[in-house]
Amino acid sequence: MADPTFIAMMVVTVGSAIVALEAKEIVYGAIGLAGSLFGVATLFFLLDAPYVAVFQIAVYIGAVAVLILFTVMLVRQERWAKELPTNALSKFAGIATGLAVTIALAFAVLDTGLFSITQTNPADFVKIGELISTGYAPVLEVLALILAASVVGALTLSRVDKEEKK
Amino acid sequence: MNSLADFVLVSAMLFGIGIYGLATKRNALRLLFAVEIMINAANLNFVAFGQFLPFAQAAQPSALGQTFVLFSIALAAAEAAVILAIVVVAYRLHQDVDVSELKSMQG
Amino acid sequence: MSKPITTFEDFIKRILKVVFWVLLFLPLIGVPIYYGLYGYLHLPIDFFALATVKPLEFLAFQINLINTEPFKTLFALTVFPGFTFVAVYSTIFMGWVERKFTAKIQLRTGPMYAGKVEGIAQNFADFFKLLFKEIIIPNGVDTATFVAIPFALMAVAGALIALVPLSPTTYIANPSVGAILVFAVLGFSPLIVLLAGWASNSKYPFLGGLRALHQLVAYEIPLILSLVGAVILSGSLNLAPLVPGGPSIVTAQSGIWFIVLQPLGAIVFFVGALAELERIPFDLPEADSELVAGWQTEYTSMLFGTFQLANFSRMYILAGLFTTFFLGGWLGPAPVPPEVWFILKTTAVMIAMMLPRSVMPRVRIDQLLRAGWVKLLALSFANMFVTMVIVSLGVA
Repeated sequence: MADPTFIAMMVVTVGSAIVALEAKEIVYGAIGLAGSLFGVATLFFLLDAPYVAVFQIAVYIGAVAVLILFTVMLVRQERWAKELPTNALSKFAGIATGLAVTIALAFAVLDTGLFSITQTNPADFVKIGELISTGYAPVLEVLALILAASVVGALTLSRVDKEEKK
Repeated sequence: MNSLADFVLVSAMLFGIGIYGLATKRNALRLLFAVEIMINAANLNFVAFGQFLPFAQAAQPSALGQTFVLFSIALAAAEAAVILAIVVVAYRLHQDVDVSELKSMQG
Repeated sequence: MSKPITTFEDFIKRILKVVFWVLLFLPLIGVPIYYGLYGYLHLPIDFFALATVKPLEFLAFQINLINTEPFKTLFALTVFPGFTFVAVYSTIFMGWVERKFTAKIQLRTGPMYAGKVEGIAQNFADFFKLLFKEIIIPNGVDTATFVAIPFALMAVAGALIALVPLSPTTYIANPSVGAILVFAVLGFSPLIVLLAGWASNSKYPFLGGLRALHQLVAYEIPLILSLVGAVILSGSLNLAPLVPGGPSIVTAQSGIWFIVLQPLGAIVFFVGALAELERIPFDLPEADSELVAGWQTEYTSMLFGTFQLANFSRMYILAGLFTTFFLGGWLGPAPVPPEVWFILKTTAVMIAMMLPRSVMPRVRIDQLLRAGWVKLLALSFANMFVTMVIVSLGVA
């Protein structure tokens, strides 16, 4: 059976994910997203993967959540900050789809013997370094290119706009 | 003691929430939230399977799951930066971030 | 010497004062003297033999209790390397040191009245003053976020306190990725500060919050990169060894401190730490002549006190990290215990961090961002690459 820490962090993760999508005020939504990302990071800690957990915190909360919150404050306007209610049918359809996917996946999991696997065999972060710098080095380089391209793209998008304003 | 199934179930829940958000929301930022939640569900699965299942050849631990998640985190950060830049531009052009209103590209 | 007794109240006060000093000095001085003479002069009464609870045995029992597991962690968390020690040492003692230090440089006297010596109890007095003031929550603030912010900031500071080792064995947590985890946790603070500016729903806090966001995000990257050189040289991400004698950043410095091998890294880290702490000359988020108090403007009473506590704790943490990474942490000649060496070095670093406050003007925001994104980043990359080349050539 799962231990109490896991259950608490599961509740935090799933609960804040729902808050992220359902909160009326979109700033609360951003806080909820940050909470959910933090919850996933703690689940990584429970999985004996501290290196990934640390990067999850550093990148997602230190960068992505801050960026999202900053954008929310930048483009915040009363008109859509309090969102228009979606119509009942589409909301119902959305809930049904989400539930169907979750339940289907859950049944798939329950059918397998995954509950019997409780023994982790964690790998050291030195192993990650070896993988990244040997077999997956091309992936790392492509990733660096993508990051550079996205930064340049984002800067270009906002800069063009600035000149239009003049 | 946590089993592999616990983590996979949490991941399934997060994925379902993400799908619900993608299906119902029209605000571009909420769509971004939903996508981030789904990416995190996938990451959680990667790490969970990578940590619990041994490599087929031997009981030697493998860091493949964690490595892929590191790549995924970097990609998600790049994606978030581009999406947010687009949101800011769309807001400045249309004064709105409701994706159903952004129809200027439609024929 | 003291004023004459005129009223009954003064009489009682004087009596109580005498009783107080007698009670204070009898155990401290009288009992040791008595027992010092006891063996030589064969004095008639052995008070210890009369007592049913032997003081020394009771002390041994207490020490044993503290060393058993649940109490050991609890003691570490709450008292010694943990919260109480950091609060008293950094906020109350170093806060007083900062006030006196700044005052002496500016030819003032600083706090003089609270406490017998040089106003040493002034920060205790301020603490109690803040504790008993009214908490004002202004109209229009987002109450839940507004109240949660100081506690969130304190929680971040507490999580960081747990990661700084005072000696090979004196620490609260020692994860295998300690060196990165510290900076991951530091990454929470821009989020919290931005939220503080937003939740106050007022223009000065919001401007301060935005400035703090720009500054913290810009200086966090050089701060992390400046330590890569030290990590490469030590070949470990642990701040304290996981097993006795194992590799760690501090034990790698037993030959020579990293400040000698990594002077550039040390300078970048020091400047970055000043900016992270929002201290003069980088105190733009709180610039008191422009923004009142920046993102702390709307906070009153102990909520504001919590901010002060969190700020001084973070100052202790960054000074402690500087000590750990560049000044050899707890390493020092033997008779002095390692914790004392660590605290001495950290105190020196903290005083060095206080020095710019009394002599430097505040920089402009564009100068600040340019220095952060261009100069410090370039310097930290240069430091990193030079270290990598030297290590791969097999010199160090």
